[in-house]
Amino acid sequence: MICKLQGARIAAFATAAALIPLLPASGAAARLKRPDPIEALRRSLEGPSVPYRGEVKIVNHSRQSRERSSLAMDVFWAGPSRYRREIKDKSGSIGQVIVADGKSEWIYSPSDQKAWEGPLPEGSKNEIESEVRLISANYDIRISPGRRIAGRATWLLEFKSRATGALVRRLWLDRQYWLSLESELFRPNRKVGSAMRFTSVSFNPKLSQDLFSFKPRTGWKITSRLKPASDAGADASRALPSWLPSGYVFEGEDALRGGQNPVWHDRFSDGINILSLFQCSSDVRLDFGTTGAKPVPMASTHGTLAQTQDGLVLSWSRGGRRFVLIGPLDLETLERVAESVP
Amino acid sequence: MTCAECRENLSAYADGALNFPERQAIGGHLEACPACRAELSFIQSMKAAVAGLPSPRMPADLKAALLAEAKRQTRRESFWPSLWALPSFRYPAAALAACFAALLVVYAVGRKERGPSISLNAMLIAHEEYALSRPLAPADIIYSRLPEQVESSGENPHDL
Repeated sequence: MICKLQGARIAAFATAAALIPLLPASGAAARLKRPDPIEALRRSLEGPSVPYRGEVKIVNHSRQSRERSSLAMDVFWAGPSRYRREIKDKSGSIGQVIVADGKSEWIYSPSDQKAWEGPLPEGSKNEIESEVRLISANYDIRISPGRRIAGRATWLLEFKSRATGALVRRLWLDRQYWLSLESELFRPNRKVGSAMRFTSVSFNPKLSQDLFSFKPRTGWKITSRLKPASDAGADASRALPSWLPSGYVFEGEDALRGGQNPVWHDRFSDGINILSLFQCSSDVRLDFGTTGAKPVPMASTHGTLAQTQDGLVLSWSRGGRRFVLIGPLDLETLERVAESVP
Repeated sequence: MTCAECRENLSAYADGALNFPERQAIGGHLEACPACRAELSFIQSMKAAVAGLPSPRMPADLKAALLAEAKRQTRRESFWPSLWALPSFRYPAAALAACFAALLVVYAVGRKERGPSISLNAMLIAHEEYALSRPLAPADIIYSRLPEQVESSGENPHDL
């Protein structure tokens, strides 16, 4: 009996002794499992390889009133050209629906019986490598274990500007499918401007094809959404900025409309943020709507400034042209870009 | 949104008479403001109480008196034709109307000559739609505000 006990103790000790040298190794193995941040970014950009559905909560923080508004949205995703988002109002009923049916993207309001048809967002899968290069050139990307979100294990990916050191975005990526389950977008003042988080998510669910179709009923009002004018041609005389913030590159242009008064849209990006420059004849009036635009003095002219969820909007006129600059930059930087436009 | 702006629209909000962006804005404020929530609750209870009241019937003698007065009014000669017959009224009134019409024409022509316009919302939509084409776009956040911008950009944003 004693011999058996001793034998068992010896066996247990021997097992423990054998495991002790492995402990640091297993810790190292766990550390090794942390993916390379660039690889995690690449897989995140490729998007999930399986369908999913989930409930998302979105919070927008208002800069002016320090209030925050939130809304809930149901998301059904079966690929980059087949998705559905149902935006709920405060009572929990569906207020607006966005459906991509493989050909078009529809935005409609069931209660108002109105629908807007537009093109699908242009995919850029083939640009992922150049996108990764641009982002990693401008941002220091770090990865660490993230908190559980909607019951899923995550990796936390943080993007800090190499130019300013400011944290601009945080993503919590699903460890299995690389879907961004939570994200935070920071303003130039380093406070969170917008955030989204999945409150529930399921991968590989059975999704009815009816979710990804929209057939307006009789009596609905259908409107075509704004899309680039194909007849605008090129405008070599349009003015472009000679100075851009660090890391921003020119990405392309199109015209919101053709005809006698084209409105040109030039886009610049640092991989994460987008800077848009619109220009048209100064004969074209600009309607600021309810954005609370106010006059702002600029070094060489007078401008108009508005605050939107997309960032600041600066408008000015020079040389018979009207310009509008939109981007998540501070006013000083926007003005510097504006003053560099001849 | 301030409390004053919110309360100005609370009654319409309770009636469901606001459009989606307005509902969202007020809903957002209500979420953070207990005082306005209490005000909404009071308005809703008042509306429910008023809706529950029985409609009073008009007294029979009052109804008869009103009908008789209406008949007398229709038989009475209209006031304006008799006034129009007076030259001292007719000529100055006609001159005033002509001036007003001319002003309207000048205003309409002026508006046309000022050229087309474009809404900032149309530009914001173009900006966000381009952002959506980027692989790292915060798609859910952008889509959460896109319908409001599309709705606010006008019935036909092509017609600048």
